[in-house]
Amino acid sequence: MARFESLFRETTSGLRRNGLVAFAAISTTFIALLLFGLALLISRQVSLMIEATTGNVEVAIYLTDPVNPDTVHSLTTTLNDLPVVADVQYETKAEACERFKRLFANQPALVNNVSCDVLPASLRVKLDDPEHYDQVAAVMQGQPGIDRIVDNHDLLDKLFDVTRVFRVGVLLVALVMLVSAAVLIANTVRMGLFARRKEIGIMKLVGATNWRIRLPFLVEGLFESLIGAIAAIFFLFGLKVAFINPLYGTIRFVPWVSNGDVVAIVPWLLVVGALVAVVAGMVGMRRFLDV
Amino acid sequence: MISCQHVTKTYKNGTTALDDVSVDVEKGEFVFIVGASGSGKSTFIRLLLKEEEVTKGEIYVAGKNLAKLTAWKIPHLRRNIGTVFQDFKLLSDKTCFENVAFALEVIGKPKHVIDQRVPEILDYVGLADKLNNYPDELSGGEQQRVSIARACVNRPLVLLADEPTGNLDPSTSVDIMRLLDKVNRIVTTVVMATHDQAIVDAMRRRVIELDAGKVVRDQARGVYS
Repeated sequence: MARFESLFRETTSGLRRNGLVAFAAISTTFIALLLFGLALLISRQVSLMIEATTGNVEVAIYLTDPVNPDTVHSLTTTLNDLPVVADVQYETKAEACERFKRLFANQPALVNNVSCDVLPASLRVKLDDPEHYDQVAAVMQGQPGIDRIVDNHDLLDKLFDVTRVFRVGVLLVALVMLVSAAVLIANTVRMGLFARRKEIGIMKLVGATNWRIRLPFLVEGLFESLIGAIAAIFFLFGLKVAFINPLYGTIRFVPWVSNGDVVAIVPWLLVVGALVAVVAGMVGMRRFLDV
Repeated sequence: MISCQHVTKTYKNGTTALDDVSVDVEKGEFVFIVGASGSGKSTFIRLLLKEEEVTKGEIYVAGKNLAKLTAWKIPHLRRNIGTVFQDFKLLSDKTCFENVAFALEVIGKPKHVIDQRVPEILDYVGLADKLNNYPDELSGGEQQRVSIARACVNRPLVLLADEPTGNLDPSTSVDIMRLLDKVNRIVTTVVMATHDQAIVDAMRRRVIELDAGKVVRDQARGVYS
């Protein structure tokens, strides 16, 4: 235990001594990880919306009620015979209902008010090349048992185009912020090394291992970046509660990111924060600690 | 204990600090390295600690060839070598006890060992009543005693002292030499670099004189010049 005590003392005294620089490092990490988390959540929101509107398929063939198994079979065979078709999946009414419930799990009012009866069964078609939609339409048009054929690829393309710009932009800003956070952490580590060069000299003389000398500084950097990460996580939750929660149910059939989605990005933020700190710490210590 | 064979050290700027030095120090010996400033005394000590690499020749400390020691084994070499310097190298924000304990903490010794050995060694160097004093509150001689305690607390095989009396007045220097003599008789081999003529003459121990990086004299029970 004595070892951990002395390590802990060195780490916390380092944080106190470098107060202002440590604060700069923490707040930059906070902003960087906040933007990174935002980018992740935006991606999640977009994919939720895409799934809700298109079901993630390029062509959806909705079938008339009641569904005749023979019709399903013959349509599937016909589709599979087309060279442009990569994959055909049959989704029953019950499966459609499940998917709907899952998408809108955080909007119980909507789920309770929509009867699963109105959700049609469908054949979900993936194409080798989305441009070949015409061929599928031509073959399927007028076949019995088909309610309507929907081509999603135009919509998908547009959604992806719009959101890509947005996502890449946010990620780029996040990246720049992460680099500045790393530089600031490296700087606090270096200042700590400088402030304690006498102690380090003595540690080397009495035979402390390199890792024993480095660890307090690495832990200090890690500590700063994890404080930033935790602040970013709380802030994201706050943003989600303040801005997304009021939207639940406002636009019909639009799903929104849930608490679970925010929780899902927590490990990412922590891991990225830790990585930045470790890399920054190593860079900050380089050269300084040769034996 | 220490064996140097034809050791030459040339620094990057071309200065040759040691030139074909061969010295053997047996276990339990007390050796003075004397010579003017710039004669190579400090380089010799830095080489023994592997703070610098030899340019030519070989050094063995406690049977280990320093040239073959990998970087990550250097700390273990240094745990066997105690060091004392002219400027004491004490941490001013730590008490005597903490300064000595620090040397054990950072090599991972458990607390019960620290609590036992630190008061013991501080008592040995005559500072039993100053455990909780800070270096600022001690005289120069007392500070040097703390640094000797720190160098000896891990029971090293060799004690290297680089001008340990350089900052002390003559009578305090004599006290420190008495202590180093006691350390030598009871604990360990001592190698001391100095240019304090009075001390060398009074001690009558082995003297190795360096001049411009060469050994010009190696004399048992010698005097300064």
